[in-house]
Amino acid sequence: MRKLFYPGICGAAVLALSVTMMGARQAGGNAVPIDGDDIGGVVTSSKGPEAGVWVVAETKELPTGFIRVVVTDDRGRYVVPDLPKATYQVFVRGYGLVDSPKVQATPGKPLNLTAVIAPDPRAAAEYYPANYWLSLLKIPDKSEFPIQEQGATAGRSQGEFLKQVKTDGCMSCHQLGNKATREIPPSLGKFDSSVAAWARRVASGHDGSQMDNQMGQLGRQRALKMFADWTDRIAAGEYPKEAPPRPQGPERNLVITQWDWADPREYFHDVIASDKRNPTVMPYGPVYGLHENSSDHLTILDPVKNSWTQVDIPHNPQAQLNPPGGAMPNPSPYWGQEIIWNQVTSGHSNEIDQKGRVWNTTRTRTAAELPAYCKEGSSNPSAKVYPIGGGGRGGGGRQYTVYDPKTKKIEIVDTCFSTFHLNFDNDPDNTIWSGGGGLVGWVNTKVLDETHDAGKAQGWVPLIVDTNGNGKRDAYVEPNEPVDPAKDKRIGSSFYGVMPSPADNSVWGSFLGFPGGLVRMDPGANPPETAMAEIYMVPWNEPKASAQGFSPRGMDVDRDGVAWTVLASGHLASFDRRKCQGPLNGPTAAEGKLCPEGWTLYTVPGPNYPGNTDAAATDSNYYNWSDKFNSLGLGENVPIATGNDSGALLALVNGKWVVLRVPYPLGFYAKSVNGRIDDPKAGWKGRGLWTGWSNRNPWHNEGGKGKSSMAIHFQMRPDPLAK
Amino acid sequence: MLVLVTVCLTAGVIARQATAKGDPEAAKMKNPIAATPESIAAGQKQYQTLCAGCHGKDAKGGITISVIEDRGGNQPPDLTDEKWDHGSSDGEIFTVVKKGIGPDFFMAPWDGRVSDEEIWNMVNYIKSLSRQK
Repeated sequence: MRKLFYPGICGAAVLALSVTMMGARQAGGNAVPIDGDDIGGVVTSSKGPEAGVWVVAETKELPTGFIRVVVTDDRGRYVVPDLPKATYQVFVRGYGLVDSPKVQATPGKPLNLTAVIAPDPRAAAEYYPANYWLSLLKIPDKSEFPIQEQGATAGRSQGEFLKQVKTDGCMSCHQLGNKATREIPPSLGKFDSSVAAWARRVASGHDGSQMDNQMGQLGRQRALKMFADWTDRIAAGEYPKEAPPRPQGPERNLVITQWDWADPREYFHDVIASDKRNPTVMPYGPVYGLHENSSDHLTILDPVKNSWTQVDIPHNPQAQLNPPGGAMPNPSPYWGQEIIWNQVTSGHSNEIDQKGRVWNTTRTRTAAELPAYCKEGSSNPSAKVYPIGGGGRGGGGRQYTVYDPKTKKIEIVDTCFSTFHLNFDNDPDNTIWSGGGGLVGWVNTKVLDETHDAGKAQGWVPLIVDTNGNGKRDAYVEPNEPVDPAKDKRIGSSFYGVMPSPADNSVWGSFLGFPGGLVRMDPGANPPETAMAEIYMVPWNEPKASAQGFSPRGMDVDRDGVAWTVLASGHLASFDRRKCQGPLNGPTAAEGKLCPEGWTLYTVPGPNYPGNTDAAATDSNYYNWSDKFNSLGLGENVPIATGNDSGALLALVNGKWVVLRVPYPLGFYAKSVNGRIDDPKAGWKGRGLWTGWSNRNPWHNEGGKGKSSMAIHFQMRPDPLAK
Repeated sequence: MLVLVTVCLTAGVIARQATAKGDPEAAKMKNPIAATPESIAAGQKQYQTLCAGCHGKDAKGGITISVIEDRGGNQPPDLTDEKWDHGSSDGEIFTVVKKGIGPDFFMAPWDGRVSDEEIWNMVNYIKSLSRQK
């Protein structure tokens, strides 16, 4: 059984046969075979069997909170498989319904459930994903731009405004449209107007000044009016008229398992369970979550024991790290004056290497404590070409910390370049790539393991485009200087997402902005001196392109070398360099418009904003990942985007969307996805995707204040009744 | 290091361009609020509420702010050292706080959200930090 699924969850397997017979008796012609550790039965309502609705089994009896969710088949049948031994609260949720009363149940016994038809559409809409409610938001008409307010940098055009509301501003932390945001809580206070209420709301809590500044970037007065109008109409009874479709086809085969982890004040950024290059690393092992601005912990889930622990992430003990602010503009309606975030390491992203070690991008020192090997005069080859710490070239930000599960210790790897998102290369040296501040940086982990000399193991380069078209790196002009026919040109963009291509030696990254784009860097034989970059802007106002979009966020490169990125315009986009027809260098290469034909855009599912906007969908998509090894079961190389406003992962299978919705609790919001194959011979039970809830405000999720974030495992059965 | 960096968008490519100059017009402004202990205390309170989220409790900068980091901007600078890229006079600091630093306004304008008097108090507090060193 351990090989098939997590141990400790076996119930009375010897009773399976008799239980199955009982189930058959109870369900009549709709027999639902179950094992001793399953709960199964039929869901019916006053209208008959309910197909494509969710059955939720939740328990608090395990070391941490545990939820498993499945979907009914076309005859309303369901099986919640392989449950740990406990008593569960079981209920039905679905579109067109309101939640059924919770029923207490134990595995091994059949359980038919009665779904409750929603009394009216408004009641049904309470369970819709946030993006359906957000589709009621009226984005300012194109004629209103540019917004004439000081500091309204995102008010230059409607597209930039959408970018800021979606992936670069509000929704990079919040799931706009959830109940917490579409309503004004009474605890916020009494106000003369909804505009005043929103002005107060965005200036709440320890991050209030940041949120308020975001509003300023949109054009404060216009943005407040927009949000106030939205919540006013909802308070007056407006609701989304378009109902989300119930799960169909493979969407009904999904099994979702969730574990509470960390303190409810702590939010997560990234979650990792295995080596993305080889997802059989660390089978049935821990899952690691990294907190960003909320704590200095690495939180570790043991999905076998259904428990979690934490370790403290260290920093250089000599470093004078400066903690963030100690006051707030106004009390939080949830936490009052309590400063709930307490950290200095500002962890962001993490990856697992071939040895099972967890590499975290965290802050370990300040720019003032930059190692000598980064600076001018160092023998490091990159420092000779591009020394850090002079001429305004940073040297601060984050570096690496590496957790070894064997020793339980964390070591600091001090990088000269700032780290951010990170990913391992496919080379024999197991090089890890990251970067920031206009630099791409790497650590040769083979050299590091052999020498324990971070200064020797690392390098970095700026991004330089071959604008003189001679096919090699030359002296270069700076980003703000005109192209020089005798030189190349440096571009000031930094990688946001980063991924080495499995198909060749190139390293790709996304860069934010409007319209933003992708950069491909070929390191060459001696990267500090040979690395060359190509830049490909997302086609926007580009007549030669097949579709228009803007503003990438996360990205990945699939096994064919095709780069994928999510766009604030409401798309998942691919860029296939093999489609490029013309030369990719030359005097206009730094403008990034040499290959619009390489782009293909796929509109993400769900509703759009009303009116004629530059958005294709309301959903916000933070990151994407390609399932190179079929960890989920929908096929190799399937690109999967996070549906941050739709509470889902969105898999693009042969050009069609498969929506992996998390219906309970409402509010699922991921910033990373990765796969792990625990046992390649165990079918669906031996594989799945891992991620976590990563919105900054777990108290906005269903369950409210006190509900922690969750680690989450997605598995795809061959059919809805597989057990 | 008070490096207030602007990031400009040119030809669709983010180009970093450090501006290391003051504001001669702003430099002419006279601080109407004396740097009394009361003013500095009021400025400190305001600073902790509005500014410390980016510049840190002790104003030494280096806080990693995702909305800046995401866009490739430099992180908020140290306000306690001797470097003032946008000018070290009271009037120049006042103007930076009031109007922000364009074009991307990672340093946001506080005009309209706090009074001029409150900004001058913050100026007095910020200047007091470098005097303490």
